[in-house]
Amino acid sequence: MKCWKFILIAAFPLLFSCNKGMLTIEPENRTVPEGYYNSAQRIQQAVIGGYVDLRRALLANYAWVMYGEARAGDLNVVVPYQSMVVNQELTADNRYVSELSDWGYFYDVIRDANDILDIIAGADDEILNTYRRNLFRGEALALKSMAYFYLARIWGTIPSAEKNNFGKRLTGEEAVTLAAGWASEAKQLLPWLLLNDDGIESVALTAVRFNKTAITSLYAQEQLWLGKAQEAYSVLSNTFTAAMADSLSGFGLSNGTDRRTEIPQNPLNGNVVRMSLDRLNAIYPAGDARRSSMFSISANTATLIVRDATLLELLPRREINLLLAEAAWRSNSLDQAKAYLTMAAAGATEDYSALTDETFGAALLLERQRMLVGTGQRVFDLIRFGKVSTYIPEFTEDDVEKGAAYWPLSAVSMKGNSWSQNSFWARP
Amino acid sequence: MKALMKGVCFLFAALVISLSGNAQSVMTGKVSDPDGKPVVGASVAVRGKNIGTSTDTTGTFRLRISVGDTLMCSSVGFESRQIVFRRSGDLRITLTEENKTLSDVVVTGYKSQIRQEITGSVTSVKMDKIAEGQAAESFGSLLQGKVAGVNIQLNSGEPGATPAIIIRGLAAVTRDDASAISEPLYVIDGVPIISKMSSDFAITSTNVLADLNPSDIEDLVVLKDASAAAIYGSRAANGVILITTKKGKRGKPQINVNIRTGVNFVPQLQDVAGGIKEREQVKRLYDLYAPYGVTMPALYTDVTNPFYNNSSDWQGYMYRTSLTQDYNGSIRGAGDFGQYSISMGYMDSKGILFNTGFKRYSVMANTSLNALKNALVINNTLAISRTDQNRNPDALSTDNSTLLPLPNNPLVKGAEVFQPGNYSALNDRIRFSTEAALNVVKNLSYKASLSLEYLRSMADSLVESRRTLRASNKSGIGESQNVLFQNTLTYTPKFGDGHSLSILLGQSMERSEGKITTVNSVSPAPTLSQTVNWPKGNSIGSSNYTASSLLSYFSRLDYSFQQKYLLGASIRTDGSSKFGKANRWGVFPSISAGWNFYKEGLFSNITWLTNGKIRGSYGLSGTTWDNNYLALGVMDGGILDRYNSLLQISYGGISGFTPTWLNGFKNDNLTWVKTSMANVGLDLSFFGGKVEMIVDAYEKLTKGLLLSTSLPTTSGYNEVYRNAADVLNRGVEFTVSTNLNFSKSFSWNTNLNFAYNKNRVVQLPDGNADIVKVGESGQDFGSIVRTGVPLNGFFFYESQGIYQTESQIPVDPKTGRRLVGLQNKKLQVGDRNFKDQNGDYRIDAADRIYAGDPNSRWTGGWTNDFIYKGFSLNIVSTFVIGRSIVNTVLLDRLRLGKGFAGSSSLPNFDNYSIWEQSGDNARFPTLNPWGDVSQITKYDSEYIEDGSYFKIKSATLSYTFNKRIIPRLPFERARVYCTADNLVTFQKYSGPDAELVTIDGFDLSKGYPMRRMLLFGISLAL
Repeated sequence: MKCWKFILIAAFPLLFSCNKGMLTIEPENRTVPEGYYNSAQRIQQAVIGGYVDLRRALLANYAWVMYGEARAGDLNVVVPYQSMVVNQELTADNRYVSELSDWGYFYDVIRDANDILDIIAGADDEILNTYRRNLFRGEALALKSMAYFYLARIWGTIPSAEKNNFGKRLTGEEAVTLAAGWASEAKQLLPWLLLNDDGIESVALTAVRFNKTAITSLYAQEQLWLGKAQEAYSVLSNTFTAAMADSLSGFGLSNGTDRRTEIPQNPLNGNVVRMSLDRLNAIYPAGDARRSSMFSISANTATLIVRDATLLELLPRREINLLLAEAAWRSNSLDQAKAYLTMAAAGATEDYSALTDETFGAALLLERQRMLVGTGQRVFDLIRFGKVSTYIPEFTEDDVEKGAAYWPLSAVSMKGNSWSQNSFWARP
Repeated sequence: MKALMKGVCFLFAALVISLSGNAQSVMTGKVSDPDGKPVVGASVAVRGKNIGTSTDTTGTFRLRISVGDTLMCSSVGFESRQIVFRRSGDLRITLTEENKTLSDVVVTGYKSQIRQEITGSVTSVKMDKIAEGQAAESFGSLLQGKVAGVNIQLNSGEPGATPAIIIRGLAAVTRDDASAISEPLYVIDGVPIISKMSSDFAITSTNVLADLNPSDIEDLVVLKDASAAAIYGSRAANGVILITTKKGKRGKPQINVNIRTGVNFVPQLQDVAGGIKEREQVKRLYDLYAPYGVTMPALYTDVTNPFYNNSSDWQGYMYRTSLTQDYNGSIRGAGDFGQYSISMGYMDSKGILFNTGFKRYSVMANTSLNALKNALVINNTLAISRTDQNRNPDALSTDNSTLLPLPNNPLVKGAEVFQPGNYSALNDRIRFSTEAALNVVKNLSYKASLSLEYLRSMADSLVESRRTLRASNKSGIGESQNVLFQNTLTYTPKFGDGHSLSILLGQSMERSEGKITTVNSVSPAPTLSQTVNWPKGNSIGSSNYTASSLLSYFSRLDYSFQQKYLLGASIRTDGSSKFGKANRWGVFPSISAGWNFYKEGLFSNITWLTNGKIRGSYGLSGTTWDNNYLALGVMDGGILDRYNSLLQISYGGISGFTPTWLNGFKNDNLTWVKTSMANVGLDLSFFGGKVEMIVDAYEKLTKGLLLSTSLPTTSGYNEVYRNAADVLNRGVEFTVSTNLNFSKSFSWNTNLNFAYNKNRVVQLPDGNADIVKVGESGQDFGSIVRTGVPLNGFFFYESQGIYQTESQIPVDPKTGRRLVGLQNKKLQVGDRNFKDQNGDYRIDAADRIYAGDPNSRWTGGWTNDFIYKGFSLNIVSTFVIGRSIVNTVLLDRLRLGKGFAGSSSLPNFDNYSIWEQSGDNARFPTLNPWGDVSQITKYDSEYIEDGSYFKIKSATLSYTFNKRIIPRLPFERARVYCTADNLVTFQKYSGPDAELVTIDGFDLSKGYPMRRMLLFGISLAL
């Protein structure tokens, strides 16, 4: 039959057109190149990206100090928006303040970390050896843990950016619980000291990347925030044994160039960040031996002495004993607590051996204020110790109850989603 | 020998003829339609004998018959007739038009079906008759009120504006404005067309469907339920509108010309106090409220001012009576070779607002060629059209103070009241499709079609300044193209005792591309050039490109047993490039059944029941979205990350690389928005089709509407969209139509349809958190999307009237403080009394409530045709019942700021009940322009009104001449008609027109009121 010829002709385009490849349209030069992360070096680049975003999150417009000592009035940052921050006028239309109110950078860090975890999961053993796999994975978990911890401490309730509950509202406690889980996992993976490209232990590298000391401190901070002092105490005392004393390292952000202009390259520059002499005197009495080693004092101001300008300390080694002291005190081991505090506060004029359970908290809070100046912990400490309205007179207890201690959300953070301002800051 | 044989044959033949001549003779007859027009190609046969013929182009037939023979005459589209031949007069046979409802063939997805065998919810509308007497820019407005469950709202009276067409309820959720509607899919002659351009690629806002000339449309089929629409898979969830264009019919060439001109009248405009009354009102407001030392502007006090007693009619100046012209011509025909159809149209509709209008030029050619003894049919269609919409480049305000002189006043000539210039939006569309259909063997046919579509839109705007002769302009071009290749194989066997089967197998592939280029000047340049030809460095250009592809396989099966028991099922699987590889394919099945119960023996004695069918269906269909690359991680063009950073960043001596340089977040899990719909229906027809009734009930659940989730827009996750929202629509539809012939010369046809639809949001992301709609720049739209209630409700403050006395203002018993008004206002007598919903003695955002539903509960239409001899009167009305709308325009006009005097016109306050002093039983609070916070507040529930209306949309009176009435008529047929369009609206609403509102219920009449048109036309068939 003649018609069959036509069927054949007609069937041809039918078969020809069934090409499933036509469904893949990826505009050239506009999509993410697949398979970019095909070497350990490139994966490390992604990890570094995470640190860079953390640096942006904390350093942009001096954010870390604005959230910390500057907001509490301890440190003066010579920028126009400092006065708004110290007066708790956080809803001002000031561009910098509104950028400080934006949590975008922290979510960049979380996303970086999640990307890195995906990349590592997909990388085979030829690309990553066990050391690197553990290191990068530990760093990603630590970055994520730290970002959530900051988010929860700054804003209280925050959205989750995890695949399994994306967008879910996490209370501060839920977020920190998650963060502590990742920190705990990272603690198993991270080394005490990192190796450089030549396979040699590098102190410089360890100081700017997450290491076992730093992650343990972070984990302890998170547990203390959650009120689980016993857990913090046991981890701290089991990890920081005498045998490990030589391997301890602090952790800070490496200062460096960033095209974004509001990221200061020398964040603790004395021309910008300083303390009034009155304030210094109020914190460090004149006889305190540590004053001169921490501050250079001029006519009426004190500036922080920065030993290593390439580094901004976030989890310094000197905090370990303070954490141990707090964990011990909160675990009802006052004697150990006093011993750790005395050890931490070597050079103080006070005699801490006479402290009682009631007076210990105030002494510890003061020592934390003294020793951790410049690390941005102050307001978080006030929240943890329940002393916000005591030290920030702009707020009443009632205000704090309504969320005054947290930062307001910027308008841009609430755009295109269902978030609204917390009840204190929603007030016109 | 040969000669001998011829001779014998001749003799034999002569003998036979002469013998039979005694009983039979060759008779000539004529078959005509009720109008007296010849019916061409009708078959005429003698019952019981093997004799038959068909009529020629004049309707004439010749047949050898004898007295007493029964003639059987039939033709497509007419009822068959049998006549017993007794005398020659019996051979003038008039055929009546077939009762369409029973044996009508309706185009459904990828095939045609006999109406009786359809199991889905399908409505067809004959457009040719509607379009003949009405001039419309697009078929959308002609379809208004014609189909139950199809809600068409014109929204704006601007020529070229896009109507909102929503089938069976809104199912679109956005976080910002309500521009997203659930649009149906449009298919012209079997080819899905580009019906809109995504917002990123739209250059013009002209109605994309207006480039299809309504006069070219033969009929229009609306597929409403899932069983009918699911064969169109991923684009069918909001219904499908199938458009069939006119084709040639057998017989002599049909030449049609339709010429009409309409006069557009300005409708009722805003209420303006005018001249002296305005001055009095301004004075009164100053007397009542002006602070000490503040006096009226000189405009109102200076009696020497030549305009002191002026009363400029700004609306009269800007709005004017205008003309619409619409010309259509076509030539069509068909024969054994195939058919041809060529049509041309030109429409020029001038707007009633200064400087606006719409033009359309359209040409369409369609040919079908038969080959291989009609086994192969090749069909080609070429359609070219251009629409040209003119607008004002700058917003024109008709709301100036009446005491200001008009710009044409010689004293003020040159005043910068509005900026001259022009804005032109051109859309050009070329559609070409070629199709080959081959009857392979009996009941098996194969069809392949290729279609190409190209749509180009261009926008040019020029804004000049009267004073400086500087101008700025903007120019853009957008192109969309679509290539579609379809193959279908249909097998329609019939077997046994009335079993018939229809199996369709098909495949289609489609690729769409969009491109956009725009250029605009940075600042006005000293030139009046209409093109972008600016000095160097004074223009900014941008371009964008997008593409998507769709690959589909589909199948449909229909089974019927004696046309009594019907079963249908379809399945389609669509793969789209819009999704990640993991989730690329969607499967859309449907199933349906029908029972023509009237064919059962039980009903055989019920003569008044002509037809009765019960239908039921369930199916799944889908929708996608505009952004083709949403599932891909796409970089922002030109910048490496959102902070414009370079990739090289140093960190700890290591060169860093932030993986956050993407604009979007790759989401492989994005998938189809799926809609499941269940439908039950009942079709009834009584008294030989004189009365028909169709009832449908449906439930449509749209799952997985795309919404961004709760992460902040500034984070690396800013483009994260998820299939997150579910919307449920439930409704009932009724259609009753009658077809009554009271006498031979008088008949009345009516069609009443109405539909009830209720929609409800079922699920939202972030734990069903409310979505308060907020625009790009942060403005609040006053709409809310909340679970459990209809979409886009008003999110307003609840008005409880006006505070008449100080004692009415609540006082907090704990603190002794009085209720604080909006924006911390210290409340006073005469202020709006809003309910403090949460009892915190402060009126703020937390006190807003869900205050009204802008979605129409009941929609419908009522069409009446009265035909008396050659006269016919057609009246189309539409109605909407049960929705709330906001009189935004009144609110804006009553909201007076400190500088109100001399800037804008005032409404006549006598027409509104406005509070001035204690005891005033007023609806509107104090207008005090100097109050610290105006009491005329947006989102005040007092401005929510009943948006129901009943509109007589058009009334057409026509007279048809034909050869039966005037035998010497030089045409086959001529129809003269007069149509009044937008005749009258009955409404409770206090604004001008309750139809001119946005989807979310805010009045738009200030934008462009709807003209009234009186159209005169003549339609000739040569």
